[in-house]
Amino acid sequence: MPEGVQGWDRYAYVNNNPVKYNDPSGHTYCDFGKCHKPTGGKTNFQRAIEIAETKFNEKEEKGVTTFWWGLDEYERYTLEVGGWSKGEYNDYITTSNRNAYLWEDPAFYISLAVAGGAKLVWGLILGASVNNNFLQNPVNQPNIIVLGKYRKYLDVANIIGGKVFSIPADVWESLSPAEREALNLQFLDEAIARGDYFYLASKWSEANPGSAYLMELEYLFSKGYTISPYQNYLIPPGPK
Amino acid sequence: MRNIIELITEYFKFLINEYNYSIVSEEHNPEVMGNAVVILKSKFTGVIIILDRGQISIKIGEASTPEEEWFDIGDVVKTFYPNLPEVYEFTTASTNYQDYIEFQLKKLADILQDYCLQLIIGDFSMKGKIKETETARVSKMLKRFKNISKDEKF
Repeated sequence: MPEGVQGWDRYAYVNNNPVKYNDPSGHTYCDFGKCHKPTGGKTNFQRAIEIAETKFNEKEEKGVTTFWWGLDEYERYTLEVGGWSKGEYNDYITTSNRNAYLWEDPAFYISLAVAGGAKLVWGLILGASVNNNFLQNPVNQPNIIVLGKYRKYLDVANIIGGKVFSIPADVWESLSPAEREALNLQFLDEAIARGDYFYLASKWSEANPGSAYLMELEYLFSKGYTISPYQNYLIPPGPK
Repeated sequence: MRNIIELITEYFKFLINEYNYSIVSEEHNPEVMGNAVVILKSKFTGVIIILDRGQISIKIGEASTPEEEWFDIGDVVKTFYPNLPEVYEFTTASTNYQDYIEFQLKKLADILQDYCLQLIIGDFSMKGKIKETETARVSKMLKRFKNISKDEKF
C-alpha cells in the first residue's frame, strides 16, 4: 500500500483497506486523481477498465505500452481498487490487439542488476515480476528468450525466468553440424511465431565468428529484428 | 565423448606447467549441450576457455579485472599479427563431435602459446592497441548487422 493512503477519507468505506475490502457494489470509484460518487451505475470493475484504457491510450500516444510492472504504485493501487489483478491487467494489455510491446524495458533494469552488486536482490524482485507478468500467465503470453554466450545466457535466464535453447549433451553430440544449426534456428522460429522477446545476456559484440550466438543474431536480423537502444534486447520488425 | 574439462586441461596444461597458472574455476553442463567453462589464472593474467554449443572461444585479460573486460584472443592476435587469418575459422574433414572440439582446442592452444605470449606473462602494455582493434571489429560488425537487417538475407 502506498505511503500516506491510510488516512485518506476516500477509502473509509472499505475500512482504509480498499485492496482487501473492495467495494463490490461499485457505488464509489477512484481514478488516478480523484474519487467519485457513482455515475450511471458503473461498477468499479467497469470503471477500472476505463482507467486502464485511458492509461493505455496515454502511454500508447507517447509510444509506450505499459504492463503491470510499468505502472507506478498509485496506478497499480487504483486498478486494484477497481478489482484488477496483475494477471488480469496484463492479459487485457496483451489481448487488446494493440501490439503491446516492452518499450519500458524490464531487461534494461535486469542488466543493471546483473552488472551491479545487488544481483541477488534485484534478481529476485525482477525475476518474480517478469515471471508473473510473462511466463506464468496463459499460454498465449510471450516468453523472454535469453540469447548470448555461455554461461551468461543461462545465468540471466535463471534470474529472470527466461527460456534458453537447451538440448542434453548426449543428443547434441550425436547430431550433425547441419542438424544442430537447424534445431537452433527452429527454436528461434518458434519463438518468433509466439511473439517472444529476445534478451541479449552477452554483448552482441562478443559473438565470435562461426559461433552459435552470431548465427542467432544474424538470423534474427535477417528477420527484421534490430538492436535496442540499450543494446540488450532485440526490437521486433515493425508493421510493413 | 571424453570429459570436456579433462580435454581443456590437457590442451592448456602449458599454462599450468610453464607459466604457473592454476585452474580457479571449472564447470561442465551436460543438460545444456555439454557447454563448459574453465578459468585459469596466474598472478597477473586470467584466461577463460568457453565451450558454447560446439564452439570454443578464449578470452585473456588482467587477473585483477572482471572477465567482462578481458580481450578475445581474436582481437589480441589481430593487434600483434594483423596479417594472420581469422582465429575462429576451423576447417576439418571430420564430422565427429569430439574430433571437432579437439581440433579447435589444439588450434587455439597453439595460437595462445605462439601469438599471445606477452599477455600470458602479464605484460598488458599493448592493451590500448588491443582495445582499438576491438573497437574497429565491433564497428564492422554493427555495419554488417545493419546490412543484414536491411537486406533480410539469410
